[in-house]
Amino acid sequence: MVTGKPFTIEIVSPSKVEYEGEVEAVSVPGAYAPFQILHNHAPIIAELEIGTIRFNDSQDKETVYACGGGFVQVKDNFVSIVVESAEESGSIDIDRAVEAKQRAEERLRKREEYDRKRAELSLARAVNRLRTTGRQID
Amino acid sequence: MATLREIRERIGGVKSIIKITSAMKLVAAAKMKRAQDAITSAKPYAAKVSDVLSFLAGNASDVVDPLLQERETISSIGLIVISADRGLCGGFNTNLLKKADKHMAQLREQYPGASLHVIPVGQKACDHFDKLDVDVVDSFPGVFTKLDFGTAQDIARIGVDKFASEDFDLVQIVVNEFVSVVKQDPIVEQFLPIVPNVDEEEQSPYGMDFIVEPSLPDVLSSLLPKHLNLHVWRAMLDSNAAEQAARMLSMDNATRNAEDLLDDLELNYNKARQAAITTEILEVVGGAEALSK
Repeated sequence: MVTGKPFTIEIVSPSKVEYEGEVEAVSVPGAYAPFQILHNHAPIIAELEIGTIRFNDSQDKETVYACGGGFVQVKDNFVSIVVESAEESGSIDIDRAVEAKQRAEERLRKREEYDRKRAELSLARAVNRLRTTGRQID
Repeated sequence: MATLREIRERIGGVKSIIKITSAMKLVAAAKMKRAQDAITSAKPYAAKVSDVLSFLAGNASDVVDPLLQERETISSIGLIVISADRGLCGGFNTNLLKKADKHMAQLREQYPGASLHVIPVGQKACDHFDKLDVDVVDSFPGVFTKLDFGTAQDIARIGVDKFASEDFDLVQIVVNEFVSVVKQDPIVEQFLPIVPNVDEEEQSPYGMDFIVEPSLPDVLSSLLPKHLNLHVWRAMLDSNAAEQAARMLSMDNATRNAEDLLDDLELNYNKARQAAITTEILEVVGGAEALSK
């Protein structure tokens, strides 16, 4: 979407500031439902789920990040996306993601009560990473 | 007195010790730099989380999340003990584990009858509690070779789950704090229930003008575990930096000691050599005198 009205976004993860730049629109995986943020969005703090962040960068190249859960804060045309992990689709290691998926499925099969939540979450993360790369998921 | 040959061998040995310790010192220095960078790059995230958390807490004073609630009776305590994976870093691990043992004794006194459960992080802590007669809930050896936020999430989740299910009434972290390059202190931090550090004076700078989605209590209850993940992560990064600093320092000391030893040995070697030469000359002179008679 091109509106001609850019604003600043930053994607922050515990390991670093993953991205900072001007965009005209950004889609985030809200906990209610995924939504898009445009110029002059009302101030909001929204919970984010595991999903994808999409925007066109200053060269108008579509950029996709796979993100872990977190939140987004919008204030005065400054968007902070604060997530526990963020990986650009091009930098995702597919082999590692497939491996993580298999490991999580293995653990789920064992049905150990205490590990269950942990396995479910890592499965969700792995599937999300794979989906972001546009890979078929079996 | 040792023979020349023995001294020469020892000199060779000490020289290779110097090579090893000074190399380890350089490696530790490089790793410490990286560990400190990791701490710095975690700061923006930490700042954002605590910023939004204090905003939410400031506006949701009537909402009390279970993770914030103190329990009246403490019948079970979880202890997350973060050590290093490797040794050769001076008193780093020993001091920490000693502190952990002491703290456990204190807890037993303070809460008689309460059961203690340990979650050791790092090889050294895992080994230590393996030998003791304590309940180890889960152990995380070898996590510092490749520091990963996922590990911090896993550790925190155990604490949160056990606290939520009332298996734990109190969770604490024992970790080496990175005070400065020359100072590491083993400290005990409260993990759960969360101690709110919201300054009453410093109300959120932007008032209640945010849309909060899905709802204030929901966001708060999803943000608190993230805050806890971050707490563990920060403790791990701190411990890692402190470990490298401790190793750098102890290897520096080891190198210096070895150099002193080398000086002594070389002095002894020269003395022994001198003595050998003198005896040889005496023998030659003695022999010549005997001949001229």
